[in-house]
Amino acid sequence: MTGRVMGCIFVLVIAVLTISGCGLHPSLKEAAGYSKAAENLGVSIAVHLKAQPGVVDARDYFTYGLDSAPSLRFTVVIAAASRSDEFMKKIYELILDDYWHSAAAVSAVNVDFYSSDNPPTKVWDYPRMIIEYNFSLFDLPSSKSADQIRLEQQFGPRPAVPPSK
Amino acid sequence: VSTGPGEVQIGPGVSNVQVAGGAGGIEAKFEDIAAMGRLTDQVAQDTMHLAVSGQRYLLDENVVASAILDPVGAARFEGAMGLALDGPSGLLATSVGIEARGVAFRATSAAYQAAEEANREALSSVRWLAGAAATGGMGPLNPVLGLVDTAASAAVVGGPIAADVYLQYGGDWQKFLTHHPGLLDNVIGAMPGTASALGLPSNQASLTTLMASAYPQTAPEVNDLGLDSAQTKPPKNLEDVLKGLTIRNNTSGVDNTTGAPVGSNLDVKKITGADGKVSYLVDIPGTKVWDLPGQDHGSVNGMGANLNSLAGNPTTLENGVRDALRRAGVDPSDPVMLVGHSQGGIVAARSAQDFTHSGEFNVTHVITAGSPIGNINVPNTVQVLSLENNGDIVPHLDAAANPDTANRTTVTFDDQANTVLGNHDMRAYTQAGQQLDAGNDPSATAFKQSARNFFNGATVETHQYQVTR
Repeated sequence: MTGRVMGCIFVLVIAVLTISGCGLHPSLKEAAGYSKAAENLGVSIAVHLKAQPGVVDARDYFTYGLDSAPSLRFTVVIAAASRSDEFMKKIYELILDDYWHSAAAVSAVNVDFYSSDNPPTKVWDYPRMIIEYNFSLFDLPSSKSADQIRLEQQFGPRPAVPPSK
Repeated sequence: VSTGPGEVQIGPGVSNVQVAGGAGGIEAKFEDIAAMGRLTDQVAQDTMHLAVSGQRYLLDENVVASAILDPVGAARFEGAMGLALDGPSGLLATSVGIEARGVAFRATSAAYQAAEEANREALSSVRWLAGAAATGGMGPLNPVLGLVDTAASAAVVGGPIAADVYLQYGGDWQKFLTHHPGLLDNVIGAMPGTASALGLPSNQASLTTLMASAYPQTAPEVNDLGLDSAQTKPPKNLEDVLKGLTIRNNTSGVDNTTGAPVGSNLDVKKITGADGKVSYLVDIPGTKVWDLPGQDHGSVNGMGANLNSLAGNPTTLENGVRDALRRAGVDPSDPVMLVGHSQGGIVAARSAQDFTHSGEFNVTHVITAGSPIGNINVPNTVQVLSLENNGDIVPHLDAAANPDTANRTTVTFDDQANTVLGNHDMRAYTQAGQQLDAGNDPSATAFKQSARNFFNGATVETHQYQVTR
């Protein structure tokens, strides 16, 4: 019986160390894709958005992980009176402009728009969402997305991040 | 090592692409030998049939009647005919010889395959025994001392490794690990032996099952998020397929504050060819949350999906894939390709097995990028292309190499970024896909040929889903 308990303890210790490791230790967090610069970029863009007329609220979420490319997601609540495709595209372009000129380690931007007369009740509230815009960065020579090519033509090459090591 | 704009550190580019298994692999050669054996059997049977049917000429009434008129000539005919049919070099002896050759071909094939399987088993056993030995033989006598011995053994082995990390790799453990990913095979392969010696009899499968039991899987909740306006061009090659997977990987995630799942974590592409034929391609992203039991916050892309898939259990995510295929209107005869990165690849391989056995969907192809699927038995009707960066530790997490069968092509390559994340990055896998598109390896070419209906679409509709629980 004691042996079985010891075996279980061994298995559980290994499992817990493995599973929780990436989220707990700072260096492991970085190994899993965490970037303070990327998180700060999200915060600064959210502040920029909130300053825009017609934007009621803006929040940022930085997502990372071993299997997840570092990405920023924005929840933007616009005034019901400002709701139009043109306005949302303008806000989206503003986000891409800020993102493109930063050197933060972010490879994707997702922007979810909501209206002030039907605001989200949770982080990602699809039934209430007006539209979602997604941008993925492919920096392989023949793998650029149409959006990436457009931004390179519009703003020039994106600043490179210096290697972390 | 290069760095992309605004990206994590990535490797210098894909090189040293090696292809194992598949149509040009060793196992296929074994199967060719076995097929030759079966063909030879058929020739032997035909020859035997000819020899037996020829016997009737020896007793033919016209021949017997002619013996009265020409006994010498008839005797000479009977002698020659008898020799041709039943002599030492006659048809009967020849047929027996051909049959023996067929048996030899089949035996050779079986022996080769048995040797391959024995090698895999032996490697697994060696790792198990190493794990058991780590307890210093004290486990059965005193589990506490066994645990202490295990820690001591770990220190004995780990000491030189730690020294190596600091002396050879400047203290960069990631660099060390990505240069020695095979170390994980040995550590993970040794764990069941250690647990067994401590009093918990186990092997790789039972240990995985034990850990998976902490993550019970439930019914999925699948939300149809409509068509993806960003993915309207049908994939034309492996690179396009892997780019599509990257996009889905980028739209899905969890909120780091609440842990709640956000975005689409699955899509089903309906690809229609110029001839009107329809095929379906499913993109399945990787792990989004490294959760302790009960902490998934509704995400189906957590440790539960990893452990249960590896343990052979259906997962909430797999059931979500099934539900999404139903919602997309997939017919049981429509060809389906499942594509996954990391965890997504495990679920893709497991789903291929389950969907094929149930007959609900016609999974013809699976593409995995950086996924540990060596222990998953994919039906031989499913063509599997597995891409593995040599410096990526994730494909080693099952402590098993992929089987070298005719339906399983494994492509390994170098793209060393010296970081765990960089080596697991989809861009490395997409680059590998580019090289396979441009290359002419027999196995990779056979895979692409067999999957041409997925690459020759005239139109595509990308249906997005969010699977939660």
